[in-house]
Amino acid sequence: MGFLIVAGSFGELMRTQLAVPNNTLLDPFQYSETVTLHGLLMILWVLSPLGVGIANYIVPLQIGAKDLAFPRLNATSYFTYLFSGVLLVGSIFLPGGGAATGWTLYAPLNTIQFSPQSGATLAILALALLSVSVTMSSINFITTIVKNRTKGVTWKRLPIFTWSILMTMALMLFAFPTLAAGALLLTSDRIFGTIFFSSTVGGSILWDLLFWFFGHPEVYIVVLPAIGIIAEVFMTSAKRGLFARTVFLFELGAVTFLSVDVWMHHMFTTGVNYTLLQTFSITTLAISIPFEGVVIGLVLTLYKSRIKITTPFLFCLAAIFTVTLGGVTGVLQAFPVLDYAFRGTYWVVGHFHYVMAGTTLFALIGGLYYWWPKITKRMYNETIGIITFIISFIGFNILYFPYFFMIDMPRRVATFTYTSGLASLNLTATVGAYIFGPAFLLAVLNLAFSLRKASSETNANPWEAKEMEWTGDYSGTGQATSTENGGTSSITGDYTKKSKEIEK
Amino acid sequence: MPGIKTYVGIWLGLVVATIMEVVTRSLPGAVSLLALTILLISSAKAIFIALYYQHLRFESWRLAVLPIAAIVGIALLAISSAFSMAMGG
Amino acid sequence: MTGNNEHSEGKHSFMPIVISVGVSILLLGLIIYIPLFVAGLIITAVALLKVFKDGFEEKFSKSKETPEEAWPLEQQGKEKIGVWVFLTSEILIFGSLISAYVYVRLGSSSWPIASQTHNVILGMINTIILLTSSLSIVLALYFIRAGNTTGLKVGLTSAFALGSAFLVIKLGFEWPELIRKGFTINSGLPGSTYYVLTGVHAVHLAAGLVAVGYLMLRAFNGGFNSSKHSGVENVGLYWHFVDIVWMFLFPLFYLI
Repeated sequence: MGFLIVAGSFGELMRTQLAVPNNTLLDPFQYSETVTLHGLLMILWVLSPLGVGIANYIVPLQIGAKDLAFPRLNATSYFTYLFSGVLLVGSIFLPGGGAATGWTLYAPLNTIQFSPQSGATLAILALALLSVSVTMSSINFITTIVKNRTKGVTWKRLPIFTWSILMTMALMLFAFPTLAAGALLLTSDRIFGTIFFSSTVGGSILWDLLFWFFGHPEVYIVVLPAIGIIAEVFMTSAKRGLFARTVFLFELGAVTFLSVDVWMHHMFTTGVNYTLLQTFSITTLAISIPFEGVVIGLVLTLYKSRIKITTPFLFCLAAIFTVTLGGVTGVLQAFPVLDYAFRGTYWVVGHFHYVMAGTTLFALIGGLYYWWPKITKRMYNETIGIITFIISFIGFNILYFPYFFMIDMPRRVATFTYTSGLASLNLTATVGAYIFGPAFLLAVLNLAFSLRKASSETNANPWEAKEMEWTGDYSGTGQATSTENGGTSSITGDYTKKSKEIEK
Repeated sequence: MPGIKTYVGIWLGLVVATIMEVVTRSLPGAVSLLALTILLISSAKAIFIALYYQHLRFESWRLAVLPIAAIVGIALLAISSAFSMAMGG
Repeated sequence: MTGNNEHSEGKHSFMPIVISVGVSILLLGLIIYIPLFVAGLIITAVALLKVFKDGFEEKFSKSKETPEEAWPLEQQGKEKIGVWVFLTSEILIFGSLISAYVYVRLGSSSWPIASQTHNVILGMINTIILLTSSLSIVLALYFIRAGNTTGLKVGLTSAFALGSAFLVIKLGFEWPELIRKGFTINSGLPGSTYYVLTGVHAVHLAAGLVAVGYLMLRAFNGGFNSSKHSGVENVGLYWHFVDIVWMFLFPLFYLI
C-alpha cells in the first residue's frame, strides 16, 4: 500500500513536461518566451526530476529500505514540484505573457522596468517554489541514505547509483538556496520596488553572482545521477565491477566538491577582475580532471569484457560519446580568452545540449529501460528499443553537431538573415530535430507499450544483474531472501571469477 | 549533557558579549578594525550557541558536517563577491 | 523483501497535495488577485494544522524500521538529522542574502551611519530578549529530559513570550519609527537590505513561534515525558539557529 507513495511519486515524476521546439513561427517576444520556458522546464522540471523520480524508486531498493525517511515530505516535495511547473507554464497565459529573459533570467532584463509583465513575476515565484520542493527532497534523501540502510549496506558497499544520488542531493542542498535568495530579492524588486538588480551598484553582476553560484552546481546536479546510471548499466552489461571503484568514487566526490567553486566561468565576459578570471579558469580546468577520470573509469569497465548489447547499454554508450564531445567543448570554454568568441553563441548551446540532452537524457532513459523489468516486472520490446535508439542517436547528432559550426550565430535570436550563411546549418539542425524528437518519444513509448503485457516474475532480472536491488541480498553473504536466479551477490571484484557464472 | 548552571552561564556570557559589541562600536579607531572585532565577537557567540545550546559539544560533531560545509561555501561566495566589487565591480 | 521488523501498512495523507495546492494558489494570488492570495493562505494554514494534528509519529511510514546500518549517526533520530540538513540549506539562504548585502554595501559610495538610523539600545535589548528565549527553550529541554513537565511548560511558554516580544518590538516599534523617518524598503539600498534581511529573519522567527506553539499545546496536554521529547529538541535546534542568524544581523545592521 505504501508503494503508492513511492511508485506514485515515481510514475508521475516520470511524466515528461513538454519540450518546446525552437523552430515554429514566432515573433521575437514569443520566441524569447519559448526559449525561456524550454530551458527552465527542461533543466529544472524534466531532467533533474526524472533522475530524482528514478532515485525515489531505486534508492530504497538499493539500500534495503521500504521507503524514504519522511514519506509525507516526499509527497509534498512531489506535489509542490508539480504545481510549480503548472504555475510556470501558466505564466505565459497571463496578460503580457511570461518571462522572456532566457532561462538565466539576467538582470536588468528581469526587472520590472524591462519585463513589466506579471507573468515574469509568476515564473520567478514558481522557481522559488521549486527550490522549496528540491530542498525538501534533498533533506529526505540524505536522511534516508544515512539512516535507512538495512543490515549489510555499509558505506563501502553502497551502490554507485545511490552514491551519485547522495552527491546530487548534497549539491541540491547547496545550490538551490542561493537561487531562492536571488528569486526572493528579484521578487522584492518587482513587487516592493527595491533596486537590488536595477541599481548601478553592480545590479546585473549581483544577479550573475547569485544565479551562477546556483547555476553551475545545478548542471552537475543534472548530470550526476546520469553518471550513476551509466555505471550501473555498464557493470551489468559487462558483468564486471566498476573499474577502480574507490578511485571512481573519490573522483565523483571531487567533482561534487569542486563544482561549487567554478561558477564565475559563466561571467568571464562581464568585465570582472583579472585575478578572478585566472582563479576560476584554473578551478574550471581542475574540475575537468576528475570528471575525465570518471568517464575513463566508465569506459575501462567495458574494456576486454563480453558485453551484452541491450537498449539500456546502447543509450549509456551514447551518453559516453556525448559526454566526451560535450566535455571537450566545455573545457575549451574554460579559457576566458576563447570565451570572448564562444560566449552567447551556438557553440555554447551545442556544448550543453550534448551533455544535457545527450548524456543526461540518454542515460536517464537508459536507466528507465534498465530498471524497467525490476519495477514493472515486464519486459519491453528489445528490437523496437534498439531501432528507436539508433534513429534517435542519429537525429540527435544531426540536430546538435551543426551547432559547433555556428559560432557566428547568437543565442536567443528569433531569426537570422539570408546573407549570414547560416541557413543550411539551421535547416540541417531542424531536420535533425524532426528526426530526434519523434524517435525519442517512440523510445519512451516503447516502455509504456510493455505495460499492456501481463507482468511476470520470470522477467524480474533479465540481465542476471548482481546488484543488491536485483537479488535482494544486502549483506553480501550469498544468501538472498528473494533470488531470481540463485546467483551469488557481489558488487565488486567477484565478476572476474567467471566460473561462478558458468555454474549457474 | 550540561546542567542549568552551564546553560545560564553561557547565557550570561552571551549577554556580556552583546554589550561588548555595542561598546566596541563607540571606541576610537578605524571603522574596519572595529567592524572586524565586532564580527569576531558575533562569531564567537554563534559558536557558543551551537556548541552548548545545540549540543554539538556533547554529541557527534558529524551532525555539523553539512552546516560547516555550508559556511565554507558561503565564505566562498561572500569573499569572491566582495573581491569582485572591491576590484572595480 | 529484506529483514525489516514490522510491515505496518503506510497510511496516506492528503495534506501534501492540499498544502501544495494552497501554496500555489497563494503565489498565484500574489500576482493576479489578492483575495486568491488570502484563500491560498487559509488553505495552507488549515492543511498545516491537520499535519500538526496528525502528529509526527510513524503513521505514514511503511514500516517501523530500526536502522541497522547508520554509521556514524546511529544515536541520532532521523528527525534530528533531517533538521540539521534543513539548517544547512537555511545557512545557505541567509548566507546568500548577507553576501548580497555585503556586495552592494561595498559597492556603494555612501551608506548611512548605523547608529544614526537605528535605535542601537533597543536593538541590543531585543538581541538580549532573543538570547533569553534561546536559554528558555534549552532549559525546557533540560527539564523534560529530567521528567519535569512543569519546567518544560514554563520554558516553552517563556520562549514563546520572549520570541513574540522580539517581533512586537521589531515590527511594532522599530519598523514604524524607521518608516516615519523615511527609511523604507524602497528608499534605497540601505533600506532595502535592512528590511529584506530582518524581514526574512522575522518570518523565520514567526515560523518558529508556530512550532513552539505546537509544542506548548502538546506539552499542556501531557504529550511529553522524559523519554519522549524529540520534538522539543528538534524545534530547539531550529530556534537556536534563528538566534544565531540574529547574532550576525544585529551587528551588521545596527553597529557597523
